[in-house]
Amino acid sequence: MKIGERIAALDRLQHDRLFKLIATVVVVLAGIASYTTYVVKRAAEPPRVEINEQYFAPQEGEKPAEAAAADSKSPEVKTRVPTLEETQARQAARIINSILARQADPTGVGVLAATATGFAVLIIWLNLAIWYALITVAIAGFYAFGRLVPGFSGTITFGIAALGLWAIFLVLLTAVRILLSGPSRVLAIARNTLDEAARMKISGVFIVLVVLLLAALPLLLDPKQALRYRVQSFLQYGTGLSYMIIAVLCVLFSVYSVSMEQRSKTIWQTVTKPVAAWQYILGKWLGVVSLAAVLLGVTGGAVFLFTEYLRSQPANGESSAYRSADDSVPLTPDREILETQILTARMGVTFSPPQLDPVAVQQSIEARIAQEKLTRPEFGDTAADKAYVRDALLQLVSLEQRTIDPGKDRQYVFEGLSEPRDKGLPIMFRFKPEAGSNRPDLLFTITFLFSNGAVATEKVSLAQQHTITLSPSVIDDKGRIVMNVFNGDFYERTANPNALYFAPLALEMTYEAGSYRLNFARVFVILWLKIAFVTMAGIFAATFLSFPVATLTAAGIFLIAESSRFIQGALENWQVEDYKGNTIWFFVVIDKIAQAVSAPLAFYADLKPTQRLVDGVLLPWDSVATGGLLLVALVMGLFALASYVFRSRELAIYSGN
Amino acid sequence: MAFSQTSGSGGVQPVVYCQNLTKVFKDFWLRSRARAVENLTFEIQPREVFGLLGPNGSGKSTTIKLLLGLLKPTSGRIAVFGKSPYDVGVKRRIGYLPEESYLYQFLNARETLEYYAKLFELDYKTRQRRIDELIDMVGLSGAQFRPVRDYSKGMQRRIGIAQALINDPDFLILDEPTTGLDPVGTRQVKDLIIELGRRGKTILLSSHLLADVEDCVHRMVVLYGGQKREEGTCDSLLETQERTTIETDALDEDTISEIDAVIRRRSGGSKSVLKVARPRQKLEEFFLDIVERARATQAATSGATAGGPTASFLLGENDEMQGRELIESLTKAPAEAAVARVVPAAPVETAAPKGPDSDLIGDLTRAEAPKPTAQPVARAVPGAAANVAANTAADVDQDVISRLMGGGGGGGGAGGGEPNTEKPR
Repeated sequence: MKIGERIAALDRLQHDRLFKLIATVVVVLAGIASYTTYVVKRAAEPPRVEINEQYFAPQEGEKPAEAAAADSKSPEVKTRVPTLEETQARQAARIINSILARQADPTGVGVLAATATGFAVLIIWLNLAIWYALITVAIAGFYAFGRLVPGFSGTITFGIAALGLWAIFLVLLTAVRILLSGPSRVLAIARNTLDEAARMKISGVFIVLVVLLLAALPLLLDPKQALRYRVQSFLQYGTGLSYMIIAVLCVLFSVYSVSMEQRSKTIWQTVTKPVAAWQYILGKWLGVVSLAAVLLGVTGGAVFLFTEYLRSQPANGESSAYRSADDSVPLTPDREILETQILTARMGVTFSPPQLDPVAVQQSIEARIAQEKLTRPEFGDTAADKAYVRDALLQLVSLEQRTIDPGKDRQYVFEGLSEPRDKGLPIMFRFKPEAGSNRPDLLFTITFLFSNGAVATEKVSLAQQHTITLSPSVIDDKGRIVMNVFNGDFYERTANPNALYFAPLALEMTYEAGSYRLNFARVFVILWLKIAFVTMAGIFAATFLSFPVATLTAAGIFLIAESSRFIQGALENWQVEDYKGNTIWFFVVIDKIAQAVSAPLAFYADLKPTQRLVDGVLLPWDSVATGGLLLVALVMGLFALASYVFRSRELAIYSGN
Repeated sequence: MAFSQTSGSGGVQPVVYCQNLTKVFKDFWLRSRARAVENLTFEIQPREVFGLLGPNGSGKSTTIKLLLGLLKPTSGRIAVFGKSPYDVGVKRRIGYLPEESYLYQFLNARETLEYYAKLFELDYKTRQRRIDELIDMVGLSGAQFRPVRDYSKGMQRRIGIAQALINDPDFLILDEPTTGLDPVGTRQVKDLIIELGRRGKTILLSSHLLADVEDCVHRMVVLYGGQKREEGTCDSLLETQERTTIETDALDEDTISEIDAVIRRRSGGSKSVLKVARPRQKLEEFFLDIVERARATQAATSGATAGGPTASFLLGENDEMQGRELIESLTKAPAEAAVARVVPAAPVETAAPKGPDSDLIGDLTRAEAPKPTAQPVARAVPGAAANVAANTAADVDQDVISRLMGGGGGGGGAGGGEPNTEKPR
């Protein structure tokens, strides 16, 4: 018997009803026995201890300078909102108590045992019992090998992770296949497409790549690095790279599936059945996005679980997880940043643009036009010229607002911060200063002065992001933070050698506005919707183009969508005239095409789900809804187009031949 | 465009209606490249087995693709069941086997049929029953879990046939159905076509293998260069009035001379015996005989096995009585239908020689009881045997024949029985 036939025979065995019944009984009995043993053992142990938040309360005289200043200069604020250190203490106690509670609660273990048993039964009835048993044996084999033969820990971790991910992939794939098994035409085509994806080499390579990448990533993290950087790296690469691989797979596979069916003529036997064009297109799309859902499920599961694992590791300066090595510091900076800035969902507010006087603006525009007319008399007569001058002026204003000369200061106002003030949430102030050529050996001293009298003087490196935690007392009654930035040490009256410059989003106030887990789920919903869009783009291209041309087209749409914000930015600096002022029409055509394709997709790039996850920035429901609706609208538009084109085609003729 | 059409003769709506159908293939620059079908007009009536004949490139497959909406006509009108070929609803009633089986290589036989069954939205039970029966019918029970990519061409063809039948179609389009099939499979497909035709299905059979068509179809169109060259029933196209074939037991030279003399005498010397030959066993029968013997010794094969009986759902055996009665009533319709009916195929078991040593001629000449012809499928017009017998009785002096046969009279003698008629070929 060949290996393939042996596998087929085993597969048939795990489909057998009697086999499944016996296996279910065995698993349920094993689950009950395990939990009973645990409860009996647990009854003999002492009760757990709860941590009081006072444990983390700072000692007198240890308050941060900025918070102390805020307290001393605005006592009325202190009575209204909790201080930063109180907030921190509560947060730390809450985090640790929740961890301890989870560890000690036997109900939790009971739920876990029941869930595990339920999952095993589910596996049996999903006809995966033998595959799971084999994977379990292989994992146990790896583990045992690791215990017996030292020096292969990396390989063994990788092997176990890859097998685990494969197990997740199998169960998700089977579940989705069952969901698609109804006797409807759309579902039949979707299921067939999913099976094709799971069995063909083209997609198999990508699927294996995702699994191997996710399994290998933990090995690539430097264990000496601060915990927050490890978590951020993992979130960035685990989510970002997996998303890219899955998106490329879906683009390629959607084109492949539709165009190859035409090329190999298998489509003849489908469309000569009572299948409408829209049903075929919808079925194909549903099949591919189901595969995307499975793979994103694997990715999401792997990233989430491993992030939780990393979170449970000791951070820099901790003797064990959540336990600072130095009793005087309740939370180490590493742990604090990880918990409050990364594994969270923060809302960011950037400073408001200056209130310009319309009359002054108009006068300035006219003055500039008059000046330009001296050398070019025809300039300024058209609306386009006036708009050009206006844009240039506003850009100059914006640049000036973000630039601070040495020894000078500039005021910034951040609005819409009533929520953190009312809830007493600490504010994370993020800033990324730049100056001159951003010499890495220079440290700039910058003084931040707040309207409530709080002051923070920081000595920082250039072109890197820095964070200061602020008490909510810096927010005024209108929900604003008014901050002056001094280029130098304000009290020492010293200046830095160069002008300070901040990029448009390089000054930001953030506060916790949602939970990390929900944010995580929203991020994956958006990732899936983005893939749903590029998949439909691939299917649409394949309805009328041959495989290579359709692949290039769909890949082009994907790349433009991903980089649309970058393209929009680049187009602002795109010159369509030469130095003599002559219009280069070829450049105009490029400009128009680039505008046309990137502008409608700018929202796609602005969603930035992975970056939000890495930076701990909230992806609010309204953004999900708006972005989701726009993506759905795009998908439906392409779907209608694809159905129309497909219906009009003579499918016996394939343009690729 | 109104597609509702009725035939000129009986007011019955034809299953297929084509009028002045033309298909011109154009290149990328919209220049005419080839006229695949030109001014083609024909109809296919309900319950008709219709042949589309022609050499390679004569426009057969193009015509079929036009019927299925896979191509659009350049000009002319086309209707299937009175509707446009683009009408999705019409396709519920059609089964289609392309000239090659274009199957999903990653599926196995069962999954393939499951997929196509779902496209007809058949419920789970119906799907499973039909799939079981079809897989058994096409002889792939032992290979049903192997991926289709591992199948031989013939095995893929069998699955192609099964998928074309999964919806129990009213109108079956078979494009070169026997391509790639071994003689056993070919015979089975021919038997299936005859059986389904007998059961009231309308079938369009396209082929350049003339023997396939001749054995099965009622009426045919012959195409060449995209144009219709001939149209008519098999008999009207093939029967020659100038010759008569009489098949008897083996005769000696003297007897033949006497027969010749009788013929010359009765025709006044204008007619005579033109050719005397001993019928040879067909190579097809010879091959089937070998396979039959091999099967008898239970030789192992990993490929397709002998097909099972025709799926019962195709015969209406498992469906509601109403449907069954309807089919029965249709199939028992008297021979007054405008088209010639096909005599059911003689079962292969009885037609094929029984053993390796069997001497067909000897068997037939020595047997006391009349034997069926060695032709597995005797094609004739219903009632033709009786008619020919009557004609023979009228035209030939029965006593003379008896004498010539060397029998003692009363129809006895070596061969005995009624003469077996076969049309000249």
